[in-house]
Amino acid sequence: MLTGHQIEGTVLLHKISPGKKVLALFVVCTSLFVFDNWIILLSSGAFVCGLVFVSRIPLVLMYESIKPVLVVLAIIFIAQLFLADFEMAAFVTLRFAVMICAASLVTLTTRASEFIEAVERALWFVRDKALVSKISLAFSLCLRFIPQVRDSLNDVREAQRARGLHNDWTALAVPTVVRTLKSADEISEAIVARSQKD
Amino acid sequence: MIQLQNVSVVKNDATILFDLSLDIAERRVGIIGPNGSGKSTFVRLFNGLQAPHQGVVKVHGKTNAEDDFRKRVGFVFQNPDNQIVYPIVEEDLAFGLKKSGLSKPEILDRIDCYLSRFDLRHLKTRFTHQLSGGEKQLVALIGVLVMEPEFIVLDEPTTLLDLKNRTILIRVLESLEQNLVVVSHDLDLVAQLDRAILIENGRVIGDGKPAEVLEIYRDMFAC
Repeated sequence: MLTGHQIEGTVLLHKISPGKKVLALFVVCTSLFVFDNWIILLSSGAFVCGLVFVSRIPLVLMYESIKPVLVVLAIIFIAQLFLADFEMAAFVTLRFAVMICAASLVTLTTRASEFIEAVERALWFVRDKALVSKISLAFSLCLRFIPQVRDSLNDVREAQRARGLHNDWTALAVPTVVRTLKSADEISEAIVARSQKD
Repeated sequence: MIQLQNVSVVKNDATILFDLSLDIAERRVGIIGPNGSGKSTFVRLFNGLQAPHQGVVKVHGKTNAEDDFRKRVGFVFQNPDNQIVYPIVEEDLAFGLKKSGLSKPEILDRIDCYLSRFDLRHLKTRFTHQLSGGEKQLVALIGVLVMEPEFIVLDEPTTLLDLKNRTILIRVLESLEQNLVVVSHDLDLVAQLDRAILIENGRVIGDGKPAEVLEIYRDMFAC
C-alpha cells in the first residue's frame, strides 16, 4: 500500500534493488494464490512479519498502511462467511492481509527516486525517452500526492463536521475533488516551470 | 532585462492584460494590485507559462518564441505544496537538475551547496509532506535556485507564512544575487524593493518608487 512514507535504513531489505523487491512481491503474491493451503499462507505471513521486524519498521506505520483497507477486508470476510464457511473466510481475508503487508514492506523500504529509476530501467525498450520520463513522473506524483490528498480529505471532513454535516458523502467528496483538481492544474504548471520544457 | 512590447492576453474571450509595454531592469521589483487584476497572468508571461495573445516578451533579448526562454526565469508558486513533486527533499531538489543533463555527483554537489548556503542541510532526507509551511516555501525556492536562473518570479511568497517564517524568507530573498519579481499583497515587503508596479483591470496604473506607488494603491481604497 502506498502511504507516502519511506523508512530510511541500512538493513538488507533497504539495499535490495526495487526491481528485485517488486519481483519477489509478485512471486509471493502469486504463490499465495497458486498454493492454496494454510501452511504456505502462515509461513508467508511469518516471513513478512520477520522482515518487518528485521527492517525495524514501526508497527504503527504498518497499521497505517493496512488501515484504509480494513473495511474492504471486513467485507471480504463477511461475503466469504455467507458464500462458504468460517475457515474459508479467515483464509481469504488473511491472504489479502499478508499481500497488503508485503506490498507495504516494499514501499516502506524503498525511496521514491529508486522506484522511479526502476520504472525507467524497466521501460528500456521504449525508444521515446520523453514518454519514459512522463511515465516515471506520473509514478512519482502518485507517491508524492497520496499524503496531500489524504490531508485534504481530512481538512474537508473536519470543516464539514464543524458545519454539522457528519455523514454526508457528497459534502465530503465534492470539495475534495474540486481542491484536488485545482491543485492538479497548479502542479502541472509547476512541473512545466521547473523542468524548463513544455 | 525583461521587456514587454505591446503585450495583450485574452482568456475565454475576456482581455486580462491590455497592450502593456514596459522594461524591467531593476534588481527587485514588486507587483501589486487587487485580486483578479491580472498580476499573476502578468508574471506568468516572463517564463512562458502564459503566452501573449499579442505582442512580444523578451528576457535578456530572447523572445518567448525561442527554445531556452524559460531557462532564464525561475518561478516560485504561491502554494509550495503544489510545486514540490517528490516525496523527499533531496529528490525534489534534483528534479529540474536531472532534466538539465547534469551528472549525479554534480546534482548532489549542487543540492548540498544550496542547502548549506541557507543552513537547511538537516532537511535533506526529510519527507516533503512533513515539513512546516516555512520549510516548504524555502524548499520550493531552493528547487528554483538550484537551476541558477537569471530572474526569479515569486507569486505571493509570504501569504501562507507566519511572522517568523516570513522574516526568514525575506532575509533569504535579500541575500539572493538574482533579479527578483515579487507579486505580493504584503505591502511592507513591497516597500523594501527597488520598484513597484500597480496593476488594475489588466492595465498598469502606477509604476515607480514603491513609496509613491503604494500611496496610489492605498488611495484607491481610501474611504
